[in-house]
Amino acid sequence: MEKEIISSRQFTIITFLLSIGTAILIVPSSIASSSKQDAWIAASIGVVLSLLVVKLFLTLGNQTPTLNFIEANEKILGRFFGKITVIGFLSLTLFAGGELLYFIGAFMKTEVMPETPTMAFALLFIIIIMYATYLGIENFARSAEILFPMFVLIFIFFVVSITPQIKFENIQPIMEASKTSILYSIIRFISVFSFSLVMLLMIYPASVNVQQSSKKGFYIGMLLGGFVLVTLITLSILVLGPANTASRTFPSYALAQRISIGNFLQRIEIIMAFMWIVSIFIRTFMYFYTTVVGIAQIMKLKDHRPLILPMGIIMVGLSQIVHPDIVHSNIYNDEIWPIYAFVCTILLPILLLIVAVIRNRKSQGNEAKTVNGENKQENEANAGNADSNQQSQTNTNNTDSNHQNQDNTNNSDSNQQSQTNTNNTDSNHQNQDNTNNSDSNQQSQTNTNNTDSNHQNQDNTNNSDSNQSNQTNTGNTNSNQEHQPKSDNAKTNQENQE
Amino acid sequence: MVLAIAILIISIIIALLYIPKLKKQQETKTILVFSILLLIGTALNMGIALKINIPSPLDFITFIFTPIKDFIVSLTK
Repeated sequence: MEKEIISSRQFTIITFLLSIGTAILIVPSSIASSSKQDAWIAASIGVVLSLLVVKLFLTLGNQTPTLNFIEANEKILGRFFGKITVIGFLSLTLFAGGELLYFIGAFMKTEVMPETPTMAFALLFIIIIMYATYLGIENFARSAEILFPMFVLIFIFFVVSITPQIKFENIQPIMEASKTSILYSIIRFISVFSFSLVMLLMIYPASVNVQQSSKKGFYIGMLLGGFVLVTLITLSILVLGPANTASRTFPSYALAQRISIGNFLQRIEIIMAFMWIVSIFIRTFMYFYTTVVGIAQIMKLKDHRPLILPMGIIMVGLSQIVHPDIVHSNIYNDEIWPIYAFVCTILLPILLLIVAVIRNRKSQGNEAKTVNGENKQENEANAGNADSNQQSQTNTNNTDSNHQNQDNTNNSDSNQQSQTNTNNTDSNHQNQDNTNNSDSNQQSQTNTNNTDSNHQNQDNTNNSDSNQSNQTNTGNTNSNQEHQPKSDNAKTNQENQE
Repeated sequence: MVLAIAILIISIIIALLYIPKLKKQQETKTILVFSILLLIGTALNMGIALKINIPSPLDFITFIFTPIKDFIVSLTK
């Protein structure tokens, strides 16, 4: 499988549209039925709590920077237990993907085209998604980039044109709902809104070009998506009223039907429906992509593309059988889905994180020992060569692990910015102490390698000087001559890493 | 009945398109996974076309998680 890289802006957009997903269609009625006119409070709290969920995903992603979620499972939990958890996780994505196809079919059938069987919509939708999966995540990210401005424009138009119909009596009295009902609403909201963001771990650390800004993008995308949802929920309560919102299956569509500007601009709800078709497309794609790639990876296949067509057929079939009717779907989504999603998307990452931290701590101890040993050996070799005093100075610098490590991270950071090399980024993030130790080791290796030519030797000594000056926190006094060898050294470091 | 046969024919076409190509690349494992998935998918869709009552897989999930749900509900009451 070739490596696919998306930019952090594309990643932000995908996060935004993925977090909106089906939530835009089903969440308003679901949480308005339990906490009535206070649904918007529950949704706001849910968005804030989602920050914690995102934080969890980011921490897990940084533990295994070169792997996606499926590979991380197998790496951290071992082959056997990893496979079991992956199968559990893939069952979630598979069924949820089928469910989303059911939703789009049910939505089109009840609201837009009542005579058409739901199979037709599911089939049309899955063809697009299969094609997107076939082309890969890069093309998908570009298409998301195109869809994003349209989404935002339509959303702004939607909000502006519905504002005249707001009745503030609908939202009063505030804070009347009981605590338990608010709690249930929050759980339902988060389960639909942010639990599905776990699928971004399929692309987050491994195939994003700049990790630092995409980390920010993860938060920004989630918050923007939350903002859109809270706005929509608030609007549907303000315009439709809590009882009406709760009794509708798709309140946001009913909201769009109310748009009437001067009795002239009416019945534009199907243009508004573009919003949820886009967001459901993004989410269904992510579920489908995760399932296909996940199956290919646990079976250790070279390419996931041959599995796309059979999986598409299965998913279309699933969309027909997951819910016999809308009542079944409502009960499932309100009561079972939050728990199921919690187990697969929150408990599983927490488990992975705990195991990864424990394993890291263990391996860290071992590696530190070996690094020290190697440094000693090289010291002896240098003493045998009796090359120069300066060389031994560099070695002593290397044995001073902490300060040198900071220098090394600085070096590799500069590499990141200039070349945006993901391999480099990865090694940088991966257990910050471990790789840094090995970095310093590599540096000393370059030193011993370069002892042949005088010129390069001078470079090395210069580098050690700059390191020393960094240690004494007078890094500003670095002259140009000192900067050049530093970059040379960074290059050699990179070559060594590769 | 016609629909079921159509689905079967489509699946056979898909299999004929992919399996020789994969055989040339000597990816036996891919062929195996591909065939199993295609078989499941075809059986599922033929069942739907023949209007056989297939239980929802989510009923199984519901069965697993109902005790946990009841426990949580009893906690918050």
